[in-house]
This record gives sequence, C-alpha cells and structure tokens, in this order.
Amino acid sequence: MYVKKSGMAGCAAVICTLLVFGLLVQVADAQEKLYKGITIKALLYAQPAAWAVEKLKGDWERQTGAKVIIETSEYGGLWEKQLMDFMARTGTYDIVAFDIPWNPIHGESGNLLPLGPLMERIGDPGYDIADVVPRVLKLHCTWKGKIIGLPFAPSVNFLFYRKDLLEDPIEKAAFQAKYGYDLRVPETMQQLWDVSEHFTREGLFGWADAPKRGEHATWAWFPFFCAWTDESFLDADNKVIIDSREAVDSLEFFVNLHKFAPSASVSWGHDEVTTLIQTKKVAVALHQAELSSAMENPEESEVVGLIGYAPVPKKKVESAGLGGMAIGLSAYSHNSEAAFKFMEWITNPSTARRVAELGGPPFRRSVINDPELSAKYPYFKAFGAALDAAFARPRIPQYVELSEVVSAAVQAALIKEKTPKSALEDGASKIREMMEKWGYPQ
Amino acid sequence: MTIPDLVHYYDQKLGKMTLLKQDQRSRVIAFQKIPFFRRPSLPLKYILILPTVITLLAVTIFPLLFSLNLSFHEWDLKTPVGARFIGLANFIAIVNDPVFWVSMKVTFVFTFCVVSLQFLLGLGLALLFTKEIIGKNVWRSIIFLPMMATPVAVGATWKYMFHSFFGIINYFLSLVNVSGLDWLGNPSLALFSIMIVDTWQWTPFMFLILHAGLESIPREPFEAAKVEGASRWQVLRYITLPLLRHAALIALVVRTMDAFKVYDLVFLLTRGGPSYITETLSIYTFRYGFRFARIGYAAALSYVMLFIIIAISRIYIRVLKRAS
Amino acid sequence: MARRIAIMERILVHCAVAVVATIASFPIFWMICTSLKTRLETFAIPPKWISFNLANYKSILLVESIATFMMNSVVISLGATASALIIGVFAAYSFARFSFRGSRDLAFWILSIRMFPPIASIIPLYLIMRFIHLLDTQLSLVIAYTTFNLPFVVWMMIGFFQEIPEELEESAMIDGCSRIGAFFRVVLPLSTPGLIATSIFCFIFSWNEFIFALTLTSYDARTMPVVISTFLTEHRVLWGQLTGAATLTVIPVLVFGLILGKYLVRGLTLGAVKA
Repeated sequence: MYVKKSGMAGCAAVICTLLVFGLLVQVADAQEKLYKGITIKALLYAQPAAWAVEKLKGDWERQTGAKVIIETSEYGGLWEKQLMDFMARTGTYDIVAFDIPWNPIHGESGNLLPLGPLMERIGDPGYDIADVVPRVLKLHCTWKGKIIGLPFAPSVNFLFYRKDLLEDPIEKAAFQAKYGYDLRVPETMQQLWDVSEHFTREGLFGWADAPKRGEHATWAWFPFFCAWTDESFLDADNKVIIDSREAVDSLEFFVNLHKFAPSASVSWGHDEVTTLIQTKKVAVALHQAELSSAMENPEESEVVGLIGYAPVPKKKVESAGLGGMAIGLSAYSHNSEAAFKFMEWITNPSTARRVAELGGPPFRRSVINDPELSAKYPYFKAFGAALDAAFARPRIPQYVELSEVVSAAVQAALIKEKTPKSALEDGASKIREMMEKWGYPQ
Repeated sequence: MTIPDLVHYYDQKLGKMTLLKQDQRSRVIAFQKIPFFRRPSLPLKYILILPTVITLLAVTIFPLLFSLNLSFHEWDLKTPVGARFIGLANFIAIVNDPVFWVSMKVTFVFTFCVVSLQFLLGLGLALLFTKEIIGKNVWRSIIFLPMMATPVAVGATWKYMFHSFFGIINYFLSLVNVSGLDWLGNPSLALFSIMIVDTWQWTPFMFLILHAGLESIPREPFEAAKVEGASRWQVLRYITLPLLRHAALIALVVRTMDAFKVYDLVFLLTRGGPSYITETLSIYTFRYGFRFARIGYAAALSYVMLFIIIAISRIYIRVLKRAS
Repeated sequence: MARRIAIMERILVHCAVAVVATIASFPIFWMICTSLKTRLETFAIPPKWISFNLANYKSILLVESIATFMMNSVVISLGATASALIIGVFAAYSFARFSFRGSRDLAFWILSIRMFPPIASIIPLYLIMRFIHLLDTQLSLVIAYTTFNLPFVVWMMIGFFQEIPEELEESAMIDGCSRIGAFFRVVLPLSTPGLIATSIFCFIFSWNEFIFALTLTSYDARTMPVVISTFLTEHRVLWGQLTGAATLTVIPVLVFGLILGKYLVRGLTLGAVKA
C-alpha cells in the first residue's frame, strides 16, 4: 500500500514535471517567436568586452531568433554617433555604450530609457543586480535615482608595478640603505615618490602615465586630486575647488613626479604606457585596469606574471578614477523590449563571466571573486578594491567643457608654461565663470 | 517658319538671340538642326550650368543656411534646453575667447609655413624634373605616392614613427648620436612635427601642379634666352616664374585652403597639445561642435573660418593680377 | 671639362631624385613592414626590418567584414567621381565658352563651396539624409562628396576646355552637329587627358575622405578609412591590424596612381595649369 502510494506519487511527480517542462518549452518557443525577425543594433566602444560580445551574441540569437549587429567605434566616433542619433531621434541604435561623463547628459536629456519599468515587467529574476559593484551601479548607471544603464565595462586607473623589481633582494637592500625603510608597494605618496626616484636610471623609468591633451590630462591627475582632497573637482554644492591648497599641492606633486617619467609622455595616450610597461621600461605606472590583460599576453608582453596592481597611494584617502563604459537603451529604439533583453543577457551573471573570461573587465562580485578567473587575470583583486575606492568625475552635463579647462591647466603645468598654482588659479576662474553661466552659483 | 524666326538667330557663342545678318543666311541650316527644345528662351549656357548649380544648392544651400541660422543661436546638445536665439553673441564670445586667438595664430603660422615650404620644395623638385632623368615616369609616380595615401593611415604611421623610444626616426638619429627627441611632446617641436608630416604629404601636390605647369610652357622663350646668353638665374626669374604664374596660383590657393582647414593630422598626432601649442582653428571648432556639442558656437566658428579662407584666396587672386 | 661638369650634374640630379623618392615612399614602406610584424616586433630596438607574419591580416579578414567595406569604398568613390564628372563638365564647358553677367561670381561661389569647413555642413547633411532615409547608404556619401568634388571638377575642367580651339567646334557645327553634339564628338574626346587627371583626383579625395564617412554611415556603408580608425582607439592602438587595414586601403590607390601617374601630369599639362 505504502509502496503503491509512493509509486502513484512518483508517477504524478513525473507527469507534473513533464507538464511543467512542456510548458517551459512552450514558453521558450513563444519567446523565440517573440523576437524573430527583429534586428538589434548596438553601438559599442571598440574594446575587448565588445569583441567578446561579438563572439557570444550567437547564443542569444539562437535562443530568441533575433539578429544582433554590433558596431564598434573609437571614442570620438562613439560620442559623435550617439550625439547625432539622439539629436535627430533616428533610433539607428537600440543600445549605446556611454562613458561616465555622458551619464548626466543622457540622463538630463532623456536620451536613454529608464530601465526600472522594463526590469519590473520583463526582467530576468536571476539577474541579481545586487551582485553588481554598488559604486559602478550608482555612479555610472544611475541618474537622479533612475537606472538608465547596465554596467558593461567599467574601468579605473590605478598603479601597475613591477613585482620582480620591488621584490628583488638587491634592490631591497639598496632601497633600505638609501631611504631607511623597506621597499614595498607604495602605500603613501611619499613612498610612491621614493620608489619612483629609486628606480629611475639608465634604461628604466620610475614613473609613467598618459597625460596628453584632452580628457587624458584631466584623467591622469584626477586620482591624485582625489587622494589629496577626498572630493571630485566640485564639492557637494557644485563649487569649484580645483584651486584649493590641497589641489595645488596635488598638482605640484603630480608635475614633479614627472621628473621620473619619460619627458615625451606629455603627448602620450594609454597605448604608449602599455607599450612601455610591456617592454620592461618602467617600474611603476598609472594605468587603465582593463589593459592589464595585455600585460599577461605572451604574444605582446615581456612582463607576463611580473606586474602587480594597487590603488593610487593614500594622501588623505586612497583613490582611483572611475571610468569605462556602461550600456544604455536608446529612448528612440523601435525594439526596446528585445534590446533590453539582450542588454540584460550580456550582463547577467553567467554571460558576464564569459565576457570576463574573454578579456572584458568584471563588474560583478561573483566574477571578481571567481578563483579561476582571478588566477587567469591577476588584476581582479586590486580592481575590485579600486572600484570601491574610485571617484567619479563631476556629474554635471557640462563636465566635458570643465574638463577641457582642467586638462589645459595640467598640460601648462607639465610643460612648465605656468606654475601649478597659477595654472589652476587661471583654470578655476575660467571654470567659475562657466559654472555661473550654466546656473551653478559659485 | 515665320519671318521673325528667320531674322533672329540663336547665337550659341554669345548665348543669346541675335539678328541674322544677310550673308549668314546659309547658317540657318545649322540653326534648323538644333532640336526644337534647344532653340529656347533659356539659353544653352544656363542649361549647362543648371545641373551643377542645382546640385550644389541642394547639398549646400540648406546646410549653409542651417549653419548660418545656427550661428545666431545658443544650442548645447548636452542639455535638454534646445536652441535659443542670441543674435551675435556667439561671434562676440569667439573674439573674446583667448583660445580662439591662440588657435588663429597657430593656424596662420602653420598655414604660412607649410604652404611656403611646400611651394619652395615643390618648385625645386619641378625644376629638377626639367632635367633629363632616366626612368622619369617611375620616379615621378613614386614621388606622387604620399598625396594619394589615406591621411588617417599615414597620420597613424607617422605617429608611430615619431615615437620617442620605438620610433624609426629617433632610431636613425641615434645612429648619428642624436638622442631621444620628443617629436610630439616637446612644446617647441610639436607644431614643427606636424608640419613635417603635412609637407611630406602635400609637397607632391605642389610638385605635380608646378611640374605640369613647366611642361606646358612653350620651348621658344628658353631657346631665345639661351641665344641671348642669359644666366640660369635670369632664365628662372624672367621667363620660368612668370610663365608659371597660373599654375602657382592654383597650387597655392588649393593648398592654402586645405592647410587652413587641417584637422586629421593634428587630431591623430597631438589633439592640439601640448597645452595649446598645436591648437588649430579646426581642432578648436571640432572640439566645440562635437565634443562639447555646442553646435551654435561651432557654426559661428565655421563661418569665421570660411570668411578668412575666402579673404585669403581673394587676396591671392588680387596680388597675382597686380603682378601680371 | 664642360662635359665632366655636365656628367657630375646628371649624377647629382639622379641622387637628389632618389633621395626625394626614398623620403616619399619610406613611411608607406614602413607601414607595410609594420603590418607584417607581431606586436613585440613592432617595438623592437633596433627595429626589425623585415618580418613576415600574416596574423594581422588574418584577424582583419576574419573579424571584420572587410570585403563589404572595401566594396563600399570602391562603389562610393567611383560613384562620387562619376556623378561629379557628369554634372560638372557641362558647367565647366559653359563657363569656358560663354560669359554672362555674374558668371565670374558664380564660378567663385562654386569654388568657395569647396572651402567650406566640413564641420559646418555635417550636422545639416545628417539631418537631410535622415529626412530622405539615406543614412548609412552608399548613396548618402556619393551625395555628400559632391560638395567637394563638383567644385573641383568645374574648376579643373574650365582650364581644359579653354585650351581647345573653338574653331574645331564651329567646323563641326557647320558640318551639321548641334552645339551639344560638337561638345560630345569634338570637345570631350580632345580633353580626355584632362578628364582622366580630374577623375583621378576626385577618386583619391573620395577614397580618403574620413569625416563625412564617419558621421553619415554606421555599418552597412562603412568605408575603409573608418575601418582603420576602429583600430586606433583611446585605449589600444593595434598597430599590426591598424597598419594592415591601412595597407589594404592605401594599396589600391597607390597602384592606381603608379599606373595613371603619367596621365596626371599629361592631363594637367594640357589644361588646368596653363596660363
């Protein structure tokens, strides 16, 4: 009797399972029909994460029947294309990648669809948004409390250092003799200075970064500014503080640190720094986290396994600049539902892990802490820590214009056209004037 | 055929109806062969120009007017505010912006230096090619290569060649014991480096035009000069150069116009840096137009640029007329 | 003695020409060399001169649909050249043969369009193209390129047509040709060298154009210069692939130029630059 009962229960369970399964298959079928014939166009920044998506998108296309076109562009083109597309409300692109400074612009102008309602209506319950690094979600993907993007390829700039040099016993002894303390990964600005000074010699530079004209110069100085002031360029009331005493000190330090850097670096972008590190010509450098995968590639690098990663050392606080790309859903998209599902799919926990495996930067705790991946990409641990310490550049739509003035000031100080103090004072008064005009009373 | 039709003759050369003279009656035959619609009230000369004018109007008049209109508006695409009429304020802001004047200076220095350098080099080359040279056509075709190469491609290649550590140029210099020049980072070299690339790319154009100009000069004056026993310098000064005037004008006007608008090279090599050392007008305009999305201001700037370019080419033409 | 000086001079002339030709071709040679290197070789000191590694080309050919983009470049450049020529020669002929009130101003207006900085026309052109649903089509670039090709054609061809003696047309007309007939049967054939020179220029301008191509196309009508730029991002410069794509872009025009170089000179000699 008992046996019989359980047998019946078993049968019932099997039937139930079959029914549920059948239902699921039908739902999946229905979904397939739902997106059949739809073409989604995504405008992404030409970077490893985008190339990974290009490789993986086939899986989603097979699942849903939709077609996905990935268009990649360099930075300037990325901005111009979305600018034109949004201005004309063409809807050419369903999905666009955007940098942090563009978040307030798209947020204010309503170019990107708030994702909250879509998430509620058709969101994937397994998406686990709590898994995303909170600072990335808050600073990059949210505008005025609304989520307008999903994290995709965040980035920070932090320290790349040569582990082999810093752990070398002979160097350690020499350093100890000269500075009176142990050689280690710099934790304070003074230590950074000493380490850079120590390693500057024939054929080796103690320091390198990429402060060329434009956003780069601002971006290279930014973590130093934050470390000194614990603020972004604007304080909580949007008042300009780039000429404060701490700010001037930080720029002075930054400019002096360039004694140990190649003098040509004033025209350098990130790629020159990558090359310098890869060819063993620099001991410590400020560099982009996501480019560390290039250090570990034996086809192009002589420093495989020799590079360590750390946040920018502490002054008032530890810091790093937060940047990179998030992806948003165009408000003028004709297929917003399918596009949203695709965005969700490429950033969900399992695809995010596959993207990271192919060289994209991680933005989920589960991926950052994944032991297998951290073994493959040693920068994950420091990257996770830096994301938590990272500062976002001022969140106002006019940031790019502000940054242009800052960048000119940094460059003027670097080529000794002006002293750091006068460069920043000139810059600050110009920015104040601009801020007044934009409606932020100073 | 009515009488008035007969006495009025459509003269294509003058492009209008003229009275038919008695002795030209025979040409009426030719007139009759002109298809009916060509005997028109709208003369042929206008019909021929019309497609060009219509096309250019279609593709430029709207953009031109649109930009002109924009130049009187403040329109910042970064904000949701939209366009706002502000009269001449953009133009006033332009002349009050010190960066504008810096970029004017940079642009003028750049244009003047590259155009004169390219002209002299091109002229020298063209004169060289009046000599007997084995395999002339091949050499010539090789020298034309730079101006045909895609600017984006060669600009990037030059950036790589200028690299202070891995660049081939510094490698060559190191062979003669000159070490590590910062071609693009050194404030006193950066603009010069861009000039080098521009000169490399566009001297062939000057050479081509001047060379073709020299080829088209008749031989007789030279032979006469030889008979008279004129020195090489005198031949150059009093025969070659004056005869080359028209070719030189074309080459100079085209190159000045393009050098004044230089964008790709500066963008690829320095982005206007270090500081504002290589900030040309078009870099400045593009920054406002695209990066800052201040399209009203950028439109005003491009009108300023257009006026300057037109003024310069008018001056060229006037100077040349006076010289002749 | 005089003969020895003459020989010395000949040698010097040849040396000078060889030096100039070397300088002119070196960057292009270097670009091709670089495209055949691995990244590590790219940054070797002293430089590695010759290497033969096709990995860069493989990755370009595999990842990007380069054939489509190449085809776009070809079609757009040919289309733009042809349309500018077809429209422009008539206007040039008219300017060369007839004069009427304001004709000089009209000619100057046409030239001044070529001077207009592209930044000013990009945004309005984008709006037009969107309005007539031509964004990201080959046709949109063909139209955009007439803004600089058409004025160029008109200005170049005026010179050629002026060089052709009018008597030739008149005699043709007396033989029964219409004016248009005379233009097609007499004037155009005589100005073939000029047409070739002008079309070479138009083709090169169109082939190399970047800014319009970047803004008016997205994927379907993308041209080669835009493809090159995607290897030159803010974060990575993929020198191997970049120079590989650049080589693929430059080689066709260079071959074209090497073959047609002499027509360029001959064409210009007969017309445009004559006093």
